[in-house]
Amino acid sequence: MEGPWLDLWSALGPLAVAAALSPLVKPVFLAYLALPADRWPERTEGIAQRLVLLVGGWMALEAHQVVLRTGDRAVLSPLPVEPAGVVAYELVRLLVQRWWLVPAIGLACIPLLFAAPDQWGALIAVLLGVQLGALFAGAVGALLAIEASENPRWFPLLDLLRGQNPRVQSALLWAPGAALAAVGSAGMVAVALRTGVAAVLPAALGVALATQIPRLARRAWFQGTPLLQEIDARYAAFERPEDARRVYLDWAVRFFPAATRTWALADLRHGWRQRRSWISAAWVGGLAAGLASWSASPGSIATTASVAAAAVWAVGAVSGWMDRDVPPFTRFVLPDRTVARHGARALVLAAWLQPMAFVPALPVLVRHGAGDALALAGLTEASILGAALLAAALGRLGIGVVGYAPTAALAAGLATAAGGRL
Amino acid sequence: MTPAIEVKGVSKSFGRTRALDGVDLVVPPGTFLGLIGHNGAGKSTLLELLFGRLSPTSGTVRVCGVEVCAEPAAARAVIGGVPEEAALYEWLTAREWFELVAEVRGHGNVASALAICDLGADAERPIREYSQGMRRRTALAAALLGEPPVVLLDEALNGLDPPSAARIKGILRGVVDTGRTVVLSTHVIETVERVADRVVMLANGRVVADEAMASLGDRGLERLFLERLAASRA
Repeated sequence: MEGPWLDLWSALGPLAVAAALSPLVKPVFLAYLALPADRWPERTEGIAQRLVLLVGGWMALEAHQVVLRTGDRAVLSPLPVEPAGVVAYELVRLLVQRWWLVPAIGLACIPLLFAAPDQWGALIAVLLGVQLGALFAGAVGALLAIEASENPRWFPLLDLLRGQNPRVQSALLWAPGAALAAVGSAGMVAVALRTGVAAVLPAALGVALATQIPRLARRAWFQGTPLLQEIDARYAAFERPEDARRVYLDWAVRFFPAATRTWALADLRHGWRQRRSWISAAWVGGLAAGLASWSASPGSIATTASVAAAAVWAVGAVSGWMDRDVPPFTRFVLPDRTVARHGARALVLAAWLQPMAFVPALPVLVRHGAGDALALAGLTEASILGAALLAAALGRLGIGVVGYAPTAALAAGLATAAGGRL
Repeated sequence: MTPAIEVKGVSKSFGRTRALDGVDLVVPPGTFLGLIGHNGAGKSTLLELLFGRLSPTSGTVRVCGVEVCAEPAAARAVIGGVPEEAALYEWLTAREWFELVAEVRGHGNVASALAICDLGADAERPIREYSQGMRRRTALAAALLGEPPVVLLDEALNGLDPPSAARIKGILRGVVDTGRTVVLSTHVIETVERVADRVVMLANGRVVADEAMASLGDRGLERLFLERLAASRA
């Protein structure tokens, strides 16, 4: 199956998952539906604000990505193509690939549809606008960032913003955030105004930005290729050879016993270089849980604990995928079932999962106090310990992915229930 | 007459690594230029600058009078080529790929490209099923589509079997005879000796030799290469 039908077909998975999640969404995120109906709009507004950030951030990042780094750039940029056409094609393709995003959220929030159809409809309308707006804003941000990266007028500002990154990368790093800020603000205003007309604000902003894309693409799209080559070359030509060997958290293993340290370093390198998305997802999970806690409502701690626990058990599955990366031949000729090897895996997993414990604990500390923050961190650490030990033990038995998925689903459910009691 | 290629005072650095250092080069139309050098000499960097896939740290690069960085779209209209890692749409057949390139360039003889790549019935199979040599031939034939005045080839004859390599060299020679310019970067000195009119030798990012092949006489290119390389390292 090829072409757009493949995208339609592949969307069935996320839609099915969203539908399956909807019974869980009600107690965790829509528990306020048990309150009197006059208190719903305010709570729905809170949910809408978080979803605006989620959808806006997702689409802005992906639009940024398709303008800058796709296989099409490698193939087409040596040819005299019309850049505006290429960018338009990439954006339409992305929109087709992600058409399911808002409908999936709509399915997950179906309890709201049954309880308050007008609020559900307003939520979906705003999110559709945000999706469209962020698509165009992300593209405009990426193209403007390419221009700014080469314009000496911007160098002082880029130097202020770049941190340890090369200057040529600075604008590209900030562009998706700027796009999210623009569309997210429009989305927040639309949510706050609670009127039908305001719902079109993010989409209107997107359409206004879209009119600038052809002009910007002609000026900047080709220049993106040398810019990306420059960035890649900077990272390839590390100033110190040892920098090239550094990986996330490798400093943490230096005090381990020698045998454990060797395996832990191997796992840290394997995970960081081959399965980095999973490790980054630990931060995303932590931020998502933290976002849920940023509310004065006492119920928000339970929501945060549930999100953090579910995220911990989900990201812990990376261990099984790492086991799958090891070729069967290597597993056969270099079997290692020692405690040092699998203990190192558990330690590494526990280290990778930490952001989901301390990131949400910080806003809870600020909004609710130290007692709640400690309780939340303790519960999440228990999940982390459980997930790390289970993943390592199942890896030792050679049933990493197969064994982990059902056990983790059960454990996540129990942890979510425990989180609900906080 | 406008030079086919004009490189003026070009340097290129990656962090502390200086890949090219003050390179000057003027290539008139109708030249077959061989670009040789040791590993890491800067050959691919120079070709990437000519392709517009890199920007110089300093200096200017013009192709047919068009400044590559300032006018990327116009530059691509006069350049055809095969970069070091040529990317193709894997799901297209060679014929479909040629049709796409001809469409993008606004003209181009697909039948001629099919004859150049000499894939026979394989031209109707998806590119993902091709061997490395077949991919090279496909990329080469696409580079010549639309008759761009300047053709840049980075190690483009690597992976070709001897009969294909000999045939392609003949075709490239024919391209130059029509007044167009070919730049071929390679490690294989015999290839340059056989087809090039002129050779430019890079060592450590600098041009250490720029000679007409006819002026080499009995010295041979390999000897010149080793002498100049030794001198540059002294």
